[in-house]
Amino acid sequence: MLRFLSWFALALLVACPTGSVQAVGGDPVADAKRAVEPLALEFKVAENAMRDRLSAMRETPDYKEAYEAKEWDKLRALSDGIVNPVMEEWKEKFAGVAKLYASKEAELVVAAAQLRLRLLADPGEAVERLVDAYASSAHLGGVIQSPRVPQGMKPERFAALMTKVIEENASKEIQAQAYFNRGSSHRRGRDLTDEQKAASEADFTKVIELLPSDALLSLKAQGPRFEETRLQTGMKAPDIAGVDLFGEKFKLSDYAGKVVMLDFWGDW
Amino acid sequence: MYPHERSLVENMAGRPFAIIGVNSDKDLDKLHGRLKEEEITWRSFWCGEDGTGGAIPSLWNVSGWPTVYFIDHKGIIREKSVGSPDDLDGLVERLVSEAEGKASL
Repeated sequence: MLRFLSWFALALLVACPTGSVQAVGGDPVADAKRAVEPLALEFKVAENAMRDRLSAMRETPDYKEAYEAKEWDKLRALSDGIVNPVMEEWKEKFAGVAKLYASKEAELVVAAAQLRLRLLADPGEAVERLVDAYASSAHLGGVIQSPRVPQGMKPERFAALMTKVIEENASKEIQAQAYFNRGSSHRRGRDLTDEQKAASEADFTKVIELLPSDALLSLKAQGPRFEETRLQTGMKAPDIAGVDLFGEKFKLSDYAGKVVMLDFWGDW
Repeated sequence: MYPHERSLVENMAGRPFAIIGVNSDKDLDKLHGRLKEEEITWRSFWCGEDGTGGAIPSLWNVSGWPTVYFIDHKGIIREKSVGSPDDLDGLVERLVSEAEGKASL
C-alpha cells in the first residue's frame, strides 16, 4: 500500500510539473530536478514560438517602415511587446517552483535552470547569495556553470566568490569550474597586464590538472596556450579528428598534400 | 561567405585544394536543409550540441566566427583571419600554385 502511494505521488508530480504540487519524498534535490526539467522543456517550446512571432513581426510594414526610418525606440518597443510578456510569464512560473525549495539546498537546482535560461531579474544577486550559502554543496555546479561575470557584479567580487568555492568545495568538477571562472574573470578586456595573465594561466593550469584532458572545460582551459604555442603562422597545423555533419568519422590529415581552408563557421 | 566559397570550390576543381569546415550549429536537421539550399558541398566537422563551445573551437581558442586558417600542402599554417580575409582568391591561388609547383618537381 505504501509503495502504491509513493508511486501515486510520483505520478502526480510528473503530471503536474509546473509547481502546483508540494515537493514529496525524501530527496528534495531529486524532487526539484523532476519539477524543473519538464518546465525547462516547456519554456524552450514557448521560446521557439516567441522567436517565430518575432520573425513574423519583422515582416510587417510597421516594422519595415520603422527600420527604414531608423526609429530604434519604436523597433525596440515592437520586439519588447512580444518578448517581455513571455519572459515575465516564465519568470513567474520558475519563481513559483523556487519558492517551494527556498532556503533548502535544492534551490540550487531551480536557480541553475533560472540562470541558464535567463529567467532571473538579478542573476548577480542570486549567484552571490547561493555561493555564499552553499559554497561546499555538491549541487553548486549549475549555479556557477557560466564563466561570465553576472550583470551588475564586479569581476573582483566574482573572483572572490570563486575563491570561496575553490577553498570549500570538495568536488573536483566544481573546483575546476570555479578555477576556470576565476581565470576567465582575469581575462576581461583585450590588453592583460602581466600579472593578470599569470593569474589566469595559473588558474587554467589548475583546471587542466583537475580534469581528464578531453573534458570540455579542460579543452577550454588549454585553448589560450594551445593557440599561442601550436596555432601561429609558420607552425605545423595540429590534426583534428571528429565526425562530419552526417556522423561519418574523418580527420584533417585525410587532406594532407592539399591546401586546406579550415573554416570555423555557423549558419547564423 | 557561401557564394565565395562555392565559386572557390568550383574554380579549384581538380587542383589540390579543399575547404574543410568546423561547424558550430546546434540543430543538425535544420542545417541539413540549409546545406541543400546553399549548395554547401564541402565537408565539415560538427561541434555537437555544445555549438560554439564544442571541443574543437574550445581547444583552438576560437572566439569569433568565421575564423579561417589556411594550411598549405605541407600542413603548415600560412594565414589566419577572423572574418573572411581581404584577398581570399589571391591567397588560395598562391598557395595552390605553390603546391602544384612542388608536386611537378
